[in-house]
Amino acid sequence: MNEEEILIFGPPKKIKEISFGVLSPDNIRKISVKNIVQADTYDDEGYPINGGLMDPKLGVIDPGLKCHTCNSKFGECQGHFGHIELARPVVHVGYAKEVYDILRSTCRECSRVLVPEERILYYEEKLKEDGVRTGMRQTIISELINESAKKKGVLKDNKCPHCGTEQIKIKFEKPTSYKEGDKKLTPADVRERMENISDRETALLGWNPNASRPEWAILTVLPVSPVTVRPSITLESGIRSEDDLTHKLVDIIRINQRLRENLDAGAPQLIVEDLWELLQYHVTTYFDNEVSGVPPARHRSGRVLKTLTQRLKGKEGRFRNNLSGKRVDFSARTVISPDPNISINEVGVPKFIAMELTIPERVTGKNIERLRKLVVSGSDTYPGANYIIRYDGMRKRVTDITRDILAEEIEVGYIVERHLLDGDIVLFNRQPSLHRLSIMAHEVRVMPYRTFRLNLCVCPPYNADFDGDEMNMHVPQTEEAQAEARILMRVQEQIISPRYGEPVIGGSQDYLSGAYLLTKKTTKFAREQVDQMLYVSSINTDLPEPIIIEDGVPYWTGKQLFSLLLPPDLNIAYKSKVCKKCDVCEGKKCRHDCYVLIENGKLISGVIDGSTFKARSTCKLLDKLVKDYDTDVGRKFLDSVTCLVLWSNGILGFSTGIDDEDIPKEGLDVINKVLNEGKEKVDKLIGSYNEGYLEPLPGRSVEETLESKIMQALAEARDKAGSIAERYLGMNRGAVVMAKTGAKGNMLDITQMSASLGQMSVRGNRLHRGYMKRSLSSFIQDDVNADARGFVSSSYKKGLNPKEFFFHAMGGREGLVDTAVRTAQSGYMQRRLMNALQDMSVSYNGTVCTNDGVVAQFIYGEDGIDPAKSTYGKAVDIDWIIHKNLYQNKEAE
Amino acid sequence: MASDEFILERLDAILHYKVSDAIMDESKKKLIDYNANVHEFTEAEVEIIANDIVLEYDKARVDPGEPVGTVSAQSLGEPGTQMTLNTFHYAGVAEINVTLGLPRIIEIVDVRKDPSTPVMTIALDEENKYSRDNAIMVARRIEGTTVENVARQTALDVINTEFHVYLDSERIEDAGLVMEDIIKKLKKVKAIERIRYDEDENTIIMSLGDISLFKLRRFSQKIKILPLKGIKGIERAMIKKEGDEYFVYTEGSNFADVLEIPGVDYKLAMTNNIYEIYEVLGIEAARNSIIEEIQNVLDEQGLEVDRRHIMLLADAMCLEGDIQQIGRHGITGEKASVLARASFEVTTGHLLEAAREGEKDRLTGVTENVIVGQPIPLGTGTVDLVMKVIDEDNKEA
Amino acid sequence: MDKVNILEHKLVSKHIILSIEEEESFLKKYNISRNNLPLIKTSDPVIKALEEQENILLKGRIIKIIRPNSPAGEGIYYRYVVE
Repeated sequence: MNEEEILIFGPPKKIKEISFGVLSPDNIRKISVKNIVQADTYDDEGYPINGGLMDPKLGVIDPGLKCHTCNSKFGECQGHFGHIELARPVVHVGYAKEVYDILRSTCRECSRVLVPEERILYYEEKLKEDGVRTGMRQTIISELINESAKKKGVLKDNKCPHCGTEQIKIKFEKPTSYKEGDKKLTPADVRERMENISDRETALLGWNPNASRPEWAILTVLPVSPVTVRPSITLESGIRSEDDLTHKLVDIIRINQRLRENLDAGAPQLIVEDLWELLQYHVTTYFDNEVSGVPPARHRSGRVLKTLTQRLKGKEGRFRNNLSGKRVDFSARTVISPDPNISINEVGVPKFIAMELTIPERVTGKNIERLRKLVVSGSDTYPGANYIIRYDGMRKRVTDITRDILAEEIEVGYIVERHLLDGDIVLFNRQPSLHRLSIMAHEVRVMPYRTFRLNLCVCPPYNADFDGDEMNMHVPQTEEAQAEARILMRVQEQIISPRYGEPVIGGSQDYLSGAYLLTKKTTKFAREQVDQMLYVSSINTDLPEPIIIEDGVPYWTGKQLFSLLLPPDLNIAYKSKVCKKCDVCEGKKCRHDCYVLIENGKLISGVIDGSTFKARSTCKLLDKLVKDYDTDVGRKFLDSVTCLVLWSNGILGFSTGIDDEDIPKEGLDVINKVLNEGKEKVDKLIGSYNEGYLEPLPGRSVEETLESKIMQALAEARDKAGSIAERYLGMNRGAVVMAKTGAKGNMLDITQMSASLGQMSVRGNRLHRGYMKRSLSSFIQDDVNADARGFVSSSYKKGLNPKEFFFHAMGGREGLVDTAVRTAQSGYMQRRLMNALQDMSVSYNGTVCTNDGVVAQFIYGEDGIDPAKSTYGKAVDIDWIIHKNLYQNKEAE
Repeated sequence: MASDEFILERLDAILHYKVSDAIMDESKKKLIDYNANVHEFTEAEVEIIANDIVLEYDKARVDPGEPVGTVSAQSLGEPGTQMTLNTFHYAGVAEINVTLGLPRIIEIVDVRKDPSTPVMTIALDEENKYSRDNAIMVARRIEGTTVENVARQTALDVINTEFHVYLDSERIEDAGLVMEDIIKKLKKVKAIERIRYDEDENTIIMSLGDISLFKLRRFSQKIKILPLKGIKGIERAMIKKEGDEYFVYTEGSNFADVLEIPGVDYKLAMTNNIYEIYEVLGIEAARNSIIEEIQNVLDEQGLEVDRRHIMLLADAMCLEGDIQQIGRHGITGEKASVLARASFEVTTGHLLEAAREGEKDRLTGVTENVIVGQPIPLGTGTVDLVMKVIDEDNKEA
Repeated sequence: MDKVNILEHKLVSKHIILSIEEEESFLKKYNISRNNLPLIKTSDPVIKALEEQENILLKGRIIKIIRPNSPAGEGIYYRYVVE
């Protein structure tokens, strides 16, 4: 709503409440603009038939025509209801069960509830008292219905407590017919009975007399939906194709007419009943075409018709597809690709997109010249503008012809819809949007080519990679929305995850291994290299004194360069990820350089790796920067460190290859020996089992015991083989650097490559199925040996033999199936969790309330701490506070 | 130098009512520890640190309007995609499998009354927890024993239509049974015509009269699994030593009955069947148990989720005094808003019910407002902006 | 063997019955009515045990619950007793 509209119509109206109710026959006639009597839609010339289903009074669906009721054009007229007078009443399927409940709980003569007066009072009281909150309402109502229904057929005393009439058992024949004893009750009979129930008693039966009466569940008049709800489409061939609802209404009118004619002609009872039944069928399927026990109505082609219920229901229904989730304008979607040189806050937007999406900017004295320039440049050159909007809301497209005139025309108060410019705020999103970090606000950076560009540090929260992923972008249009996005949703504000209080945005892969190489003791750079590195990482400080001078040439260490990224008053100490976990930590004198010590913003000792700024893990440094300093400091650190590391990586070089997994012959011999020993142990176990010596574990059979012991022995053997391999795998190998710094993979993966894969498993058991009593046909039956049950002693490097290869594939397949099933299951769980919890929020008094005002927690999390602002779940990191304050004090002294 | 008394006194004075008890206790412990072992504080340092703690605590507080429900749901749902499926893991003892991973979480939020793998961890009282023999005795009392368990061998006498059970005295003793009990139990079985006990052979012989061989076979199977003693629903009980105490682990759960077993420390007995806990110990215990069970699964999977998110879920489930399911028949199904319910599941059912009851949707929730196209009442939507209309004359300025 | 007293079970948090005066000041502090409180049923084993122990009916009263194992050290919660 713009200002002018507000001046004309007043401030925007807020919908306060929506009331639901059943339409009474009177109401249906009242809202109807036409009694529909013709079963046809259009005549031969293609004009809608008067009194037909496409009556021009019901609204317009053809551009150019005007509505005969409200005289508005296509698109303006929402459409108007018509009605059909049914020759005989029919049951509304949706209420068939409720009608049955009323029939069996009320007297057939006096239509009163079949419980004595004092019980009525009791139930009234109960509904008033407990029905309010506990959701017990429906339970109480069905209790009453069941109690009164007992009079019919269950209790010996089957007389109405009010008038004394004997009751007959009512039978409900699904979906829509009722029998009293053996006599069929027609909808007309049913309706008559329900008309007599007093308002007070319908309320007890669950029918709120202010909104609905039970007899309205028996339809005497059928509303005909406006044509706008069921538009007909003209095919290319010129043939009109009607909506499913129209087809259904045609059927109803046709049968209704035949029924009326037969009634007027005094046709025999049998024929009337048949037609009545048929009318009931058509009205039933008009409401719901999936009622059990009713053959679904079909189109001529045999396709099942989509009627009212089907339109609303399910994932593709009106509610979930059109009301809870809406299509929006000002959005874009394309493939993403990485760009390490832009900030984490930014997103690279292709020029094509920037020229299509616009931001409305109001012309003021300050920006008029700038906007005028944009208008002059038109919509086809970037940067430009696509539309201008006058005071009165009139929009004008900026074209090549009009751009100069329009540029002249704009004045203060106009709105210019200009192209996206660098620095504009946009929302960026990747599906599946599982958490709030899946939609974050980025600043636009317009770039050539056709992909969105994003910094690699923001991949973890989006769970994005660049194997063809696409992402969406939305442009907030109002200043309020833009401000909100910038303050609350900007990437740098989301570095700490609300799930656990650890960083979700941070380095990964090359950034971590590169940081390790950069800050290693032996790394040094000459002046020229240092200048380049500082330039690309936009660090504008004076160079520190070089530490190393060789042959008169000054060199700077990587630690010195890294220190330039840190705030000058930072003091912190922690162990790095490559820590060897020695028995006694030697602190900053650590031989492996694993003790990170930062004093007054200088990295004194230790290498930088995963434990410093890895995303989705406990970081020691990044979270301190974000929480103790500012999100700005954290963002700048990430922006610079990634550029610095990338450049240093370029200088130092980093690679991995098959020789990373090389193990000298003596090592391989030991590994083979260990594996063979494991297999021998298995043989021994099998031997003792065969001889009957194997003691079963408590509560287990001998076979199960053998199986678990074999698994244990083999796992042990593989672990031993792995740890032997690890002895040969030093930090001079690229793969090991990656594993140890947390860049990619772990030591298990490397030992699988170099030593042995170990046991393959499906569902946590060794492989045993496939052929009868064996995993592959090349084994004898019931062979429980290591090799026969999927133990792979080869390594990836050595290569797998065919059997091993097959076993490995079996294990791999399970993983794939697992992922497919899991996504479906966890998706549904997430939807349910979301729906159950979404209305809870923190109030101003600190309590957590639902939207009905019920308090769920008196203080959020019992201590009022936001996990997103906590230190890994704790409100305050006391150690850190002590540490921080002590160092600051020292400086003062 | 600051004395311990000074530190305690200052912390009490400065932190009181401003931080949670947990932080208060931790501060005291850490400061005194640090003072003694690392660095002696000056009094001024203590003051600064104490004030800083309060400041940091305030910085970490939740903001009003924060959609904590949504954040909880996301924090629990998002790791769901990373969880493994069908993991069976060993709980305490290697012999007992329990469902973990995503299926277990779903089981918990569904409030299933019979979880797929009910297990109990039972602590023993002072008298029994240090002795292996006593622990085994308690386990026996809990574990069900069947005829088969005490038999050396069983045999069918086809000619006389008799069923012979050769008893194993040792096993009977192990199970803590007496001969008379077994016979008494067997006498209650209607199909048996006559029961004879052969002392020489230590055999029970049951005659069944004139029945077919097929029926005899079936009958023998039935007798084999006839429970002689133990608690219903518990299939296996075994003991395990942890530290210097023995615990009884069971497969199957019957919380109410186990509490009554002599030798059991009822204060510490646990089950993973949350509904049983609700029935026996009430809503608060159930709430605590929901938190622990979810936390267990997440820990086992190595996924970290803040406890507060789990607590909110548990509190939401236990809001109405009984455990409500997350889903159609629980929290969502009983929402006040018609539109919220209709857009979740069984759309038409909820609309028809709303019309019959003449319900009114007050549009206070998220879904409803999205549907009608209004700002949602959370976060920045909880406040309205009031703006002064600019004076027409000054508009140009 | 002492009789099973569920109030002593590890999982059962401490339940305290608020006095009428305490109830009033509590409701005033949070500015809410009883109907907006979390509920506990009279059929709840803990309520039954408390009723027996104190020999009073608790329907309509407010119970204060002190929960251990909370991020705050001790969590405080209230429930309104209903049928």
